[in-house]
Amino acid sequence: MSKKNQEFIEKTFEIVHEGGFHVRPATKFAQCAGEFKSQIEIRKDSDTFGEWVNGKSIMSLLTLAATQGTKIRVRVSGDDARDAIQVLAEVILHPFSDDIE
Amino acid sequence: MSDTNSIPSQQILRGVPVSSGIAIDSAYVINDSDLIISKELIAEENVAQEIKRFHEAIALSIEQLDQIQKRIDPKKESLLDNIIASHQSMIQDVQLLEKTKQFIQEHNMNVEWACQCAIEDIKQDFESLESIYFQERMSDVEAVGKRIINNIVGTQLVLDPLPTGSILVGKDVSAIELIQFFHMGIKAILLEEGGATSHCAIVARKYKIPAIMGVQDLCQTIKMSDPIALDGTTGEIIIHPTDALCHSLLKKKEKQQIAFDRLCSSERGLLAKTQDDVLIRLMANVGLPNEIPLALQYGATGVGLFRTEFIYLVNRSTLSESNHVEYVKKTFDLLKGAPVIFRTFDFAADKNFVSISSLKNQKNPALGLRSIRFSLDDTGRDLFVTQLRGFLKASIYGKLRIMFPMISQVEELLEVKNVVNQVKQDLINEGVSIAENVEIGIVLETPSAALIIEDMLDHLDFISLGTNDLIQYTLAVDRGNHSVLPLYDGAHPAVLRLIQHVVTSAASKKIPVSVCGEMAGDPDLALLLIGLGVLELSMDPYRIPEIKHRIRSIDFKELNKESERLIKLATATEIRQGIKTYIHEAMTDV
Repeated sequence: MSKKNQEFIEKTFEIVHEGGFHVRPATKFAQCAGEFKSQIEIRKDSDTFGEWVNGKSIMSLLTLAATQGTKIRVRVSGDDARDAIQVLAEVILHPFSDDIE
Repeated sequence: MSDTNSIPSQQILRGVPVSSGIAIDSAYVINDSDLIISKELIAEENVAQEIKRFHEAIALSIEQLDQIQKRIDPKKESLLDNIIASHQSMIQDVQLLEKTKQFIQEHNMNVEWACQCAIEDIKQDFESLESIYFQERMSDVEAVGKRIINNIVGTQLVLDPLPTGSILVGKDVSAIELIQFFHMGIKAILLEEGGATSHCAIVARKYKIPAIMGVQDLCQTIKMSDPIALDGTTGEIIIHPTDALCHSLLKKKEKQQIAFDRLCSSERGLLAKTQDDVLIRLMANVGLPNEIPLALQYGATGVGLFRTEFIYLVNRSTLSESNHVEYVKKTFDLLKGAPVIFRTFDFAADKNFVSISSLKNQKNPALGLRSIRFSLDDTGRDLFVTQLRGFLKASIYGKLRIMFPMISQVEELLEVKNVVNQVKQDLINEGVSIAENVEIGIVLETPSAALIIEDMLDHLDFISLGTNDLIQYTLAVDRGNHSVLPLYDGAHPAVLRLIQHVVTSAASKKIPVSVCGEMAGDPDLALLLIGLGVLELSMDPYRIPEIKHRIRSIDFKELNKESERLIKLATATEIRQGIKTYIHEAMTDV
């Protein structure tokens, strides 16, 4: 792996929808995250010393207990970090955009 | 055994009949609580093999859930559909996989042990979460772990596709599991634990499958595939029934159905009026809006108790404010102006809510943090306030009546009213319009509330007697406990005299009183309650036709006199006998 492709991106998002980052949006996030090679980690923004959890694990995401209004910090590192953060940002903001209803 | 001629002899067990109906089929025994896994250290060369077994179990688990999903209609069962999808994603969780692998590779654990350790590890992360919704997801982690481990050890228990038409036999299951079993085609339920008012009982009645609970030695006695006949009306279970018995039971089933259908059609459209023209309101107890159409068909004139825990239980995505608005509005729509009372969350420390940590590990849960105490507690207040906000937002769609469970002192009632007023004010400040005439009531279910009812009346619009708990607390009897079950009796004079006290006191201030416990659906005790002046009864809808039929045959004034005489008697046995005889005579007179 060539070093110069290694990207490292960190970004903060707010959980806006009612109910927070519950099973469905978290499942969606974990699934999307799993499609990237990059390492993807999350923690609560308020929790400066909090543990980063694996963004590809639905169970870990749920332990964030991110309710509506929580700010979460997403950290992505790897070859496809740029694409990943873009897709994940979309998933956080519109988790149900591909739902039929 | 070489003796092929031996026919196993017929054996009888008894339990609490909780959902009527007759079923004859073979047993499907689930014994998940007894799942014992072996803990072994494996040889280095077997590590790869153990990891392979894990992957196989995962594939099988996914496949099983696919099978279940195929049987349900995702539109009608969107909640179950969601559970399946989320469990499938949890089964494939990377963290679970990594942790399990690690335990196998680094500690040479056998796969089932490794998986169990991984699940326990993950569960710990959930325990300390502040939000109850997220805390509760621990039960999903647990369920997922159970499934994978079952598949590793090859027992394939819970949620294994059932052969259709089986009789579920087990120690205890959660309401959610029961709904899933229902969709897999179970015909009847037999449980060692539980009783008439457990959530499982409610689910069984909702799906109209016969159920008997609180059956002692059930799991020891019944083996997988044993032929069984059961009668959910009497609580009788026959193992290895003879052909003759099956035949007569089937006949009985047919007769019961015919009698019920006849009663339904003959009572349809008639008012529940006594001979001397006293109108009794017969209402339905429901847990979901979609139970309402059937309730109306059975003759309910409204919903006297809308339990909201069920909404919470089946709604596994966060139960949000808009969800509350949604089911309240839907209920109003379905009832087309007929009255309804919503009860706020009545959480208790039972199997269904085990993952709410503040409810757990209480030495004496029935006397501990539960119901309104939980709602007013720091740990439950968010859920409570969200529910109230939803209720009040929906108040513009119909006449909103809210009742609060287990109020046992005036201070509690005042605090609840404060919270309601605060929520109202917040909504108004946010520019939300709410109805002005929201009615507030209590579920009266403690002797303390009954004894000080005069002091509560000024703060109330109505009272609903929750007799299940009132009996339990008055008689100090846990009805889930086999050894004391016979002591649990709504006909106990102490219970009836408390009820009479409440009814008379409330009448002096013209505060309406209804009964929403099981007693209201007991054809004999229902009449006794009416005799004591309770003019509104809320019950399981299928009870309505028979009780209406009885009401139409009696004279209120006479029943009133007789009831007041009966509750002065010293024993429940005499009182029960007395009311039975009275009704029998009154009905043969007509």
